[in-house]
Amino acid sequence: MTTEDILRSVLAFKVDNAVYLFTNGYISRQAYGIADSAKNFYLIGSMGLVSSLGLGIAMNSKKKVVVLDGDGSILMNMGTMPLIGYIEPNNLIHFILDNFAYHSTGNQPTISENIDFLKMACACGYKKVFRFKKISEFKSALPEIFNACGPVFVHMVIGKNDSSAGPRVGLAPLMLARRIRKTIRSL
Amino acid sequence: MIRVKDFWDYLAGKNFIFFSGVPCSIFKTVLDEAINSEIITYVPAVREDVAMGVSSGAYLAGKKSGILIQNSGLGHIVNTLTSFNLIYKIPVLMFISWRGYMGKDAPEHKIMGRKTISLLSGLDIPHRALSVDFDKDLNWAIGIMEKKHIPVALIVKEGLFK
Repeated sequence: MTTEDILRSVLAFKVDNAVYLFTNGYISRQAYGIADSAKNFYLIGSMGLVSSLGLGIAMNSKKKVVVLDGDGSILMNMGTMPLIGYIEPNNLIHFILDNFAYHSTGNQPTISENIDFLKMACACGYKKVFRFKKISEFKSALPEIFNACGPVFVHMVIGKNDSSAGPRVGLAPLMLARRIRKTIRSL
Repeated sequence: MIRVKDFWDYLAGKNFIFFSGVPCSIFKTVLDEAINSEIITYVPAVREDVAMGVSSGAYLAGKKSGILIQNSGLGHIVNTLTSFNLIYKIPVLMFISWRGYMGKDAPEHKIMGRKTISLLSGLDIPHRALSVDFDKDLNWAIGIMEKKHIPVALIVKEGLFK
């Protein structure tokens, strides 16, 4: 299972009223390369911010807010997890795509391999938690994941042999912000 | 001095009803009012960058939003400002307390007390001290946010709020 497999599966699973937020680095770049859409919002920097952004959107809209976070990114700002558990947005799905590495800077190891994110998510108050190691099992669970009452936490264990970079996001940050605001208004 | 109810009523009148932050004793009465308010939403963030993230998310969802933080936490939002809010053009109204103003404070506040204004200037964040004529200061800040779509800072000294 690779980041690309996961992103393809998530983006191919049609949900009427969802928006997708991607953390910086290869997760944003691969998602942009696979299927750019007005429902997608990419962070090109500000590592660790995607989960709090998702929380702010989820609190202020009825849309399903899908956060595609990385292991390095969530480790950088882990304090957001208990805040999400405390606020309890039922429309938030928080994915951790865990390849044990800071991939875009040269695959340096993070410390995630030894961390039980699922126990943490439970302790922080996420309402439903999942862990997947096989893409086939993940695909068949997508309806359950998207129908669950959130906040939902999904730990995707990718491991060290991950897919490579996608293209750099070809839209200006200002345009990305305008686009997602418009999408959230119109959904 | 500013009555906190007048302050929040004015902000709510401008549709600023979503806030996040990390407490400072300078904001004690302001935060008490917000936490107990039925109109204002206040999210107790775990760190200043998380407050910026949550309030920026609120903006992306169509709300007007702000943060309240202590100046000691200004460093935590430098990256958020430079690699997110300033380039994505996400305006968030920032109330930043001014601990260490004029050097009269505990040791841990003295350096940031001296550097708060120059840090904001260095980041090209429009800023001014909040005064008893708070409506004028808020209108100035909101005006810049609407025109330039960037965060604006209002610096709050000890004793301004009742």
